[in-house]
Amino acid sequence: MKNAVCVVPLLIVLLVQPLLCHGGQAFPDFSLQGELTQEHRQYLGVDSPLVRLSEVQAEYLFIEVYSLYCAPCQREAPTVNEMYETTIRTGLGSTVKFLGIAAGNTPYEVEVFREQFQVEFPLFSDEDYVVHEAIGNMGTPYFVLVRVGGTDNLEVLYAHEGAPEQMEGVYEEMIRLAIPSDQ
Amino acid sequence: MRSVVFLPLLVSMFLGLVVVPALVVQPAQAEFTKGALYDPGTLKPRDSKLKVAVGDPAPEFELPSLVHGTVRLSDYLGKQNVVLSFVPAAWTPVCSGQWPGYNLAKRIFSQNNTVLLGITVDNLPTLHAWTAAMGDLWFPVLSDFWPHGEVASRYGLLRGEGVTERALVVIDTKGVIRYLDVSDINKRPDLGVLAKELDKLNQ
Repeated sequence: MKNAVCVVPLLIVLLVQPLLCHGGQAFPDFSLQGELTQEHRQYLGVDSPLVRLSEVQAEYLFIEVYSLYCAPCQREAPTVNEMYETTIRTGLGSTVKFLGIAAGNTPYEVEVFREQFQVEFPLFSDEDYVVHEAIGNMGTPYFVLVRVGGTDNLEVLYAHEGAPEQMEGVYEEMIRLAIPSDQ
Repeated sequence: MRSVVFLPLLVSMFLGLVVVPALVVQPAQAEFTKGALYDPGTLKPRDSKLKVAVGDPAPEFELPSLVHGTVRLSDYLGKQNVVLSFVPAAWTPVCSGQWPGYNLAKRIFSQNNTVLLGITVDNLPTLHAWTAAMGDLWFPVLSDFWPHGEVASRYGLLRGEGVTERALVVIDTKGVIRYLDVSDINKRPDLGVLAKELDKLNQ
């Protein structure tokens, strides 16, 4: 009984904590414009270069809000590429789909970043900071994992502002949240 | 028996309270995190009158730089095109992004035989601390600190409050100004426009 007194409050903390970390808030169901190759459209399962997030054929989206003009974003780029490649290699490519939103970057600047880091996943220009402002002007890079539930139904499962000390931790957390252990 | 029941519970508590937060709630790295930069708010877009124009010979200058010693504009005469990137101040939001972008876009400069010179009116120690937070910059960073803003003033780019405009000056190998852009100080100029101007130098 004495143990139960100690354990119950801890259990409550344990259960509530993911909510504290991840919020569970809605993510705006934006339409994004990007220079998409045929491979990108195939990956996203869309026909047009104007892509509404909820139209992407995926259970989860891993979104990085970044900028060419952000040194930490540049530094993390190879690791984010590795994360993307790992999802493809391990057969998670159709479950979790990656996309980058370039805050304040023109399409030209998006291409400079893509070319420099050989980014394979789709990148979209948010030239006028519309997305960036709507999600609260978060510092870049900003990583978000959302569950796609349908039109205007995107649930934030995980969010991280700034460059994480260990991107591996972000990847593991993404997999933990996106792929429940019973699968 | 009781300990057997509670062991998984304890493990899950350990994971939940120690491991997961360690993965999730990481502090962002020191560099340009919120709070590291001073936001001056929205400023008057322009506050100076140009003293040079496209087609003019670029006024000569000599300034101390962080790691390239004393830099003279004439060092590049007949050798390389030069882009002067004046930015208003160290440790402010827009400026702190502009040069890391140019740092990544080195190819756009080098493929057009162009050197970039970054200039602010901050002193060298401030520029040292600020640019160190950007990582290694490939281009010289010059201090127009003393006499204060003299070079910026020579180009007509010194503002009333003592900082420079956010301006780009493209100078060809003959020392002639080929492109001038004084941006709204609150906004970063599009790299695509500068890249097109650099392409024109070789045409």
